[in-house]
Amino acid sequence: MLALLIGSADMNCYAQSVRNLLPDHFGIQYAGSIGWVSVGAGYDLFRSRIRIGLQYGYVPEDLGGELHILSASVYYQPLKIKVSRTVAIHPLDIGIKAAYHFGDQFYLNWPERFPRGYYWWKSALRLHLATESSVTFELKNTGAVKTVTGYIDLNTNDLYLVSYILNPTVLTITDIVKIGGGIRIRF
Amino acid sequence: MRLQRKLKIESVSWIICILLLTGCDSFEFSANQVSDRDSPRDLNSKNLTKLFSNPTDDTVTVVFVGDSQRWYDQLDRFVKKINTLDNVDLVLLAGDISDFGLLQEFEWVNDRLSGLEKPYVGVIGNHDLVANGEEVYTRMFGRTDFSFVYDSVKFICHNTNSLEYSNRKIPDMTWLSRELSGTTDAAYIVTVSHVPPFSPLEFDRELAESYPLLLSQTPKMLLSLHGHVHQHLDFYPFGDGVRYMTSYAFNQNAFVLLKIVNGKVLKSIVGY
Repeated sequence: MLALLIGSADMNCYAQSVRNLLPDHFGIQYAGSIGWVSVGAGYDLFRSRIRIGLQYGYVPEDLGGELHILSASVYYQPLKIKVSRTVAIHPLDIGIKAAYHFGDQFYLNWPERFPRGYYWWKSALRLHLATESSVTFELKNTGAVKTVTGYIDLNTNDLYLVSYILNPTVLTITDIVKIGGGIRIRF
Repeated sequence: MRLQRKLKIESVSWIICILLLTGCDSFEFSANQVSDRDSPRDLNSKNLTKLFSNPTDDTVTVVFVGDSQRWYDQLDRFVKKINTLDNVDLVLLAGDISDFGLLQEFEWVNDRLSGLEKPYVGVIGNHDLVANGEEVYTRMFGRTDFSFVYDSVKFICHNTNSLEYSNRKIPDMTWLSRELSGTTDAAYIVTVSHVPPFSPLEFDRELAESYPLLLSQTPKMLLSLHGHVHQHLDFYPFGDGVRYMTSYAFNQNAFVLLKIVNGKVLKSIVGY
C-alpha cells in the first residue's frame, strides 16, 4: 500500500516536472530574417513579462537560399491591453534575437589564415533588435489550445545598424527594418 | 476607459496596416539570402551592352574607383558628380562593393550607381566574398573573371582575393594567361582586380612573383588597376615596366579619371 502510494506520488511528480519542461508556446513564422518559414517553441517567464524562444528557419534555394538558420530570442513584454474577456493586445514587445547560419561559408571563428580582427564581425551570427505587436485570442470552450496569437515582427541586425549609423542622412529607417509575421499557440 | 482602449486599439491596428502597406519589399528571409524578389541580375553584362552602344572615338575615358563599402553618402555625391562630366565612357569599380558581403548592401550600392548615366562595371573584392557574398555577386553582377574589349582597349577583370580561398588557387593564372595572350582585337590591355600583387597578406604568396612576371611578359600591357589599399598609388613597384595604379576609396571623396588615347594614359584626380 505504502509502495503504491510512493509509486503514484513519484509518477505524479514525474508527470508534473515533464509538464513544466514542456514549452509554453509553439509558433510558425513567415520571414522576419530568421528563415522563409521558421518554426519554434519557448517559454513564458516572470509572469509572462519575458518570452524566450528557439526557432529553426529554412530558406529554399529559389527564394534566396539554401539556408538553415537556428535562432534564439528573448522578448520583454511591457504592456498588455485587455480588449475584452477573450482578446488581448501586446502593442509593442521589445526583443533581441541571435541567428546562427549553418554552412561552410559562414564563420563564428575566422580561420587562422586571417590575422586577428581582420573582419570584426562573425559572418555566421547576426544579432537582431526586434519588436513584436500582437493580438491574442483566448479560446474558451476548446480542448488543448488555450490561446492563439497573431503577430507582426519588425527587426534590424547589427550590420544594417552600423550601416545606418554611419549614413544617417542617406539611409532611412525603412531601409534597415525588415518585417515578419507569425502565429503562436499556447497550451 | 473604454474609449481610451478603443483609441489605443485603433492606433495600433493603423500602425500595423501602414507597416504592411509600405513594407511589402521588407519581408526578409535572412540577411544572408542570395536574392530577393527585386534583386537585379547580370548587371555587368547589361552595363556592357550599354557601353557597346556608345559610339567609339579613339579615346577611352574611364572613371576609376574602388571600395564603395558602407559609404552611401559619398556614393550619392559621386553619382551626381559623374553625371556632370561629359565624355565618360565607363566607371570601373575595383572591388569591395559591399562591406559585409550582404545582399542588402549590394542593392544599396547598385540603387545609387544605377543613377549613373554611364555604364559601370563591378569587380569582386575580398569583402564581397564574405558569407554568401560570392553567390550574391555572381547572381547580381556576373562571373568573377571576365573580359571585354572597348575601342582599342581590352579590359581583363578578375578575382585576386587569394586570402578568401582555402580550397582554390586565386587568381586563376591559367585563365589570366589565356586572356592576356589571345588578344587580337585590341591594341592595349588593362587588367582590373581588387587586391594588388604587392599586398603581401592578401595576395597568394606563391603567385606573388609569377603574376607580375606574366603581366610584364605581355606586350600590350598598359595598366594594372586595383582597389583595396584605400589610397591612390601610381608607380612601377616591380621595376619591370608595368604600371600599377590603385584607386581612392569612397571615403576619400575623390576619383581617378583616365583618358586612354593611342596607348597614352592621361590621368587626372577629381574631387566630389
